[in-house]
Amino acid sequence: MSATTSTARTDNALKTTTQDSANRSALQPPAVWDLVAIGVSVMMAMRGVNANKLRAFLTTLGIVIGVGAVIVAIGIGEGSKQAVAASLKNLGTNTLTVMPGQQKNGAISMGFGTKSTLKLTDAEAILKRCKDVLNVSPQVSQGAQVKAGDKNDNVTVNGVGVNYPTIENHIVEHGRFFTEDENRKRRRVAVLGATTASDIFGGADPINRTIRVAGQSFQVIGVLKKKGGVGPRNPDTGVYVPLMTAMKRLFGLEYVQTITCQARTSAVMDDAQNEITALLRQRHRLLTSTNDFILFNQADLMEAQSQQQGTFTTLITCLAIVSLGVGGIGIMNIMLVSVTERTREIGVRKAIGARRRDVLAQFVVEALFLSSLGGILGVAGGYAGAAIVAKTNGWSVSIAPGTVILAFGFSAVVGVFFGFYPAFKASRLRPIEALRYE
Amino acid sequence: MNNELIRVRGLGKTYSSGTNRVVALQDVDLTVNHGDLVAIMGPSGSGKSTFMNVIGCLDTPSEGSYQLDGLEVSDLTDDELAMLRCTRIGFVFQNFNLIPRTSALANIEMPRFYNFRGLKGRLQAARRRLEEVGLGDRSHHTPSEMSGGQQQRVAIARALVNDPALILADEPTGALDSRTSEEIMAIFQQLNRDGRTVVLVTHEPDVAEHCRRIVRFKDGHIVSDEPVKQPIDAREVLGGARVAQIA
Ligand SMILES: Nc1ncnc2c1ncn2[C@@H]1O[C@H](COP(=O)(O)OP(=O)(O)OP(=O)(O)O)[C@@H](O)[C@H]1O
Ligand SMILES: [Mg+2]
Repeated sequence: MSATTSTARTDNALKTTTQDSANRSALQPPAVWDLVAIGVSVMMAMRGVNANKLRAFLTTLGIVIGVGAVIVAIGIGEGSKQAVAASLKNLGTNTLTVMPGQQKNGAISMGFGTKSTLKLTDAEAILKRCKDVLNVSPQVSQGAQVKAGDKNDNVTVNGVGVNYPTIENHIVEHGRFFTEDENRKRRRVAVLGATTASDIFGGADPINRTIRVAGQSFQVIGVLKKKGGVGPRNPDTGVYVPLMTAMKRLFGLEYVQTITCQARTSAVMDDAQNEITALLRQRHRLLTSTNDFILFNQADLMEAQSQQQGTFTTLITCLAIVSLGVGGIGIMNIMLVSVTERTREIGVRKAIGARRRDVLAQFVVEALFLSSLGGILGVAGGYAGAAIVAKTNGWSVSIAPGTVILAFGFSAVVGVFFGFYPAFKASRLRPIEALRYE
Repeated sequence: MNNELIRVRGLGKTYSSGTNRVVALQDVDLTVNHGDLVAIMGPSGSGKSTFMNVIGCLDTPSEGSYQLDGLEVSDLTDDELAMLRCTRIGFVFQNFNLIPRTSALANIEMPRFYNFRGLKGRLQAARRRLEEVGLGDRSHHTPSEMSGGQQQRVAIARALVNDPALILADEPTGALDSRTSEEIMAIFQQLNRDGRTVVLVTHEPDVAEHCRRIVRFKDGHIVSDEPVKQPIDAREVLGGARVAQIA
């Protein structure tokens, strides 16, 4: 009896081992399954996105906001930096600008250039008596309506001296600039800025055509070459007429509004500045230490402006970083809120037979999908936003590829970190732990 | 031939969190043969769920041996365990554990995606199982659009879709009324008649009386293991009509 039992046992044991290995090998998927399983995970990820549209939408939105804001902000910062650099390059060489001082109305300051203290003779005296000044161009400017045929435009009309193109680095592209003779005779001749020329005449040749400036007929004799610049003082929009014509015929002025002076070299800028100050003080018979004019160095002014620009760029970059953070926190919140549900889902999937790598692949695919979708939409939105800003504000916006890569990289990191990391943690749990997670 | 599907020897499970140690199972021996229908009973906290989770390979024991169909489970790698859960075991949870916002059909189909032998014909298989549990007209409803009993039937259909030999159910009728419980038990009995081994946990003596055998747990031990002399046939209780649809 005991013998039979022992034989039966041996039989049983033998059977168990052969069955065991057969059973076990039945649990091994073929090599090709590695690939198929990835396809399955992609499908599961897409179904998951489809089943949780709101969550997917909010996650994507967070990334879109972050990426879009960064691209717009850095684009604006970069663009204005380039614009300032371009304006610096366009500046007249070694120029000093004299403007009338502040008019005081009681205790209230009326701002620069409101006082009528600079005369044409001041400009002539500067040219004659300041040895370090090479050229001067007195100037008056006012907005006026300019008409040609049925087109009309509101532009700045500048009465300038004949030296104006030399001092301000302008090149006459078509036709010619006016002469001292035309200035003295107060001729009605005009030179157009490049943008104004194309605005009024389109592609047609403006030379010798007639335009009406503030109701008076002017003959166009030249067009300036485009300089490129930004803001209301863009030199490309404007009409340039002889100073005397502007003062006497158009505006009825006795005084000039600015005198632009060119120093002989950049080394004597300070000397020129001192000479001009001394001369004007003497001519205006000033007794107190206050000047009735302002003298500034445009290069210094631009330098200050570009420093301001730097601050602006820093500010806007901070703003972008904050938006990125906001987007990231948004994503984090959504993910954290859903982490319990996700962990349970992972528990269920493991309980019904998903391997750890199946679960991981599913959530990697989901995270990559949502963050690249958000990234692409964010980049598109960023470009659109930048275009809108550029159009409405007239700012120049420049988007570097580096910005796009940075923003995209961020979205990938945020998306994968917050989307994938909780899933990664959950995938390590035993099914029952994941199912009971709270 | 070896007729043992489940062979458990000296099984123990201890939960320890910090200094706290809870012995949930201690020295459990149990054998379940192919084709059996077993009810596990016992007071709350006696270790029934812990036992089911170990048997279902959702949890690992602290000690002892568990062989499923001759395979020593503790020898298997994680991936092999996953495939074992996928193809050999169908687990039915008390709280259904369906994937939310996903249709009944997609829920049932899901285990097929993880079964390298089951990718082909998965949708037809899912549809057939859904019809078998009497929900053929609910394939596109999501869990939140279904009653508890319907959700439990979807969960059973999901457990069946890879055609496993073993069905484990932890209080499958715990959240259901007696009529619905009877319908669920009719399904389990039919599965058992088809040759599947079913082990289920229940607190209700009525439900247990539908099984062939009742195993009682107390304080992590098995205290009794008796056959049921005359199991109740759910078809008779329901009056035949419903079961015809199921069978
Ligand atoms: N994750 C866990 N951590 C610590 N202790 C646990 C854990 N799960 C279960 N226990 C303990 O193990 C013991 C057995 O729990 P189990 O869930 O198996 O009981 P049960 O028989 O299923 O009870 P019920 O009928 O109420 O479902 C209980 O004392 C319980 O407190
Ligand atoms: Mg329990």
